[in-house]
Amino acid sequence: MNAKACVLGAEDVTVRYGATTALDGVSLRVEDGEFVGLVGPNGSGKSTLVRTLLGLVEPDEGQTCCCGRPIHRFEDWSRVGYVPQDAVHVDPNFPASVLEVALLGRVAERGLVNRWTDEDREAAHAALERVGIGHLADRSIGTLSGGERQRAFLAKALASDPDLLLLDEPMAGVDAAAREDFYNLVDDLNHAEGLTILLVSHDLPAVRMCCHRLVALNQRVVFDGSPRDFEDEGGLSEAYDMHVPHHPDRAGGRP
Amino acid sequence: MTGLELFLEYEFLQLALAASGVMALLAGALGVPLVLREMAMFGHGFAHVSYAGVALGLLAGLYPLGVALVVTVVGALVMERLRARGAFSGDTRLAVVVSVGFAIGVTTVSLAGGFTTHVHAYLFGSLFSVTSTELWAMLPLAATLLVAFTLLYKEIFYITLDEEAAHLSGVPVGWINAALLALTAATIVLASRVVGLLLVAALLVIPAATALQMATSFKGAILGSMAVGLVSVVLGLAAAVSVDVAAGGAIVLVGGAVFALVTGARRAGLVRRG
Repeated sequence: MNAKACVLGAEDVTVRYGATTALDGVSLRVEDGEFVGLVGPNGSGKSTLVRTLLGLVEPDEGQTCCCGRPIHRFEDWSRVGYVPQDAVHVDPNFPASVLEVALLGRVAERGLVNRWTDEDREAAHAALERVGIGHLADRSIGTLSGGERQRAFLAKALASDPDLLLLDEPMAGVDAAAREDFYNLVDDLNHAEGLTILLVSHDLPAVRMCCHRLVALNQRVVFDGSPRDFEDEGGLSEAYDMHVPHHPDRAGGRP
Repeated sequence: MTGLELFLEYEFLQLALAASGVMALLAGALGVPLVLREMAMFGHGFAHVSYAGVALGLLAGLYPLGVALVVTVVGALVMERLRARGAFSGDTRLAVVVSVGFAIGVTTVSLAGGFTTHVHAYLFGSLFSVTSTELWAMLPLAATLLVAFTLLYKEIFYITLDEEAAHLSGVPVGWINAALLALTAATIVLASRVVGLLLVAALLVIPAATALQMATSFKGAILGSMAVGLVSVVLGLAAAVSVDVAAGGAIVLVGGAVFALVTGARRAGLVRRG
């Protein structure tokens, strides 16, 4: 692995949970400015791969890197924004305003013990404006809709002005209209602002629409290429273990 | 003689009020992250483990609360280690630990031929026999908690919302969790003098659960929980003195009544969150 050019990478990563192999020799490389979609059926190892890339899961074999450094030596977490799978399912009674949640994205920047500064508050407000919910800053997080809540967590991930954004099924349990708005927003973050994004999703049409590159996982990488070629080259059938007739009009993907 | 005159006249009542007030503030603050993280049963668990410590202290002829403090803090750190490794993903294993802790206490008491009076004082509380030494022992704990919550407010808030994301932001989650649970364990042991080991978890849970129905911020929830705890001990103590009932029970009953009142008011739309 060329560690210097690696924004996010995995090389021959194998993860086992007891007798179950979650990832089997997975290699992945995300380049600067790319928008990569990671798809695969339930249990295919998508979330395990994201958690391994973030250093939350120790691989049994292989190595991972982030922003040019091996993950175990990487410390500058303000460069990474992460929206976990269950962010939208936060306890509706959790006593926090939307601004307080966005401010948490500044913890890595601010450091241990130090209190919030005006700079932190301005950055959190700016992040909320960036995702279109600046007017909800003082609302309780639990009173927001699923889509608004997800935007609040995206604002938290953006509050430290990261270089890399990891979104783990960010729209699970959110209605179709909010999903479309959200994907347009992250598409814009990549297209207009050059943010490198790894998006894990079950939403194939959205991934095909937004992403430069699509990676299909089923314990191992079964497809890695243009979203346009995903069906043509059998990626869909191999990832989801099914036969899918090709519909040329359904093929999408960004150039 | 009025209630106020009684409190001004008798030192044991002043000590009882001061001790229960300090403990209510401590338990109120610690209860919020515990309840939000669905770890309320840990408080109950620590109380049961501390019973083993009290029994061992009595058996060895040592100061029971001192031994209970050591046993419970060590037990809390072991339980946190097991929790972090996913051992308490359900409540069954926690129930096993709690039961075994209590069984050690029961067995120790029976081996020693029983010290019923002493044991009852710890099980059900003996607020009116709190000594000034015990009150002084509570103050460093309160000071430690105040410093921890002031300096590590954003880190505790982050861990409470999302432990994993906090870890990714460089927050030393393991150390802070261990420190919070050690403080909780110490609070449980000392608060057992106020309401007894069997009711001490209520001081952690009821004020927090009450405040969480109204609070719109984490800080507001902590301050609200401390306030509800303080109101409960003052009114409970006053009731105990006025009608001559057990202070621990009266304090918890007042807390339960405040919880029911707020729940009812919220359901009736009289109390709203932001």
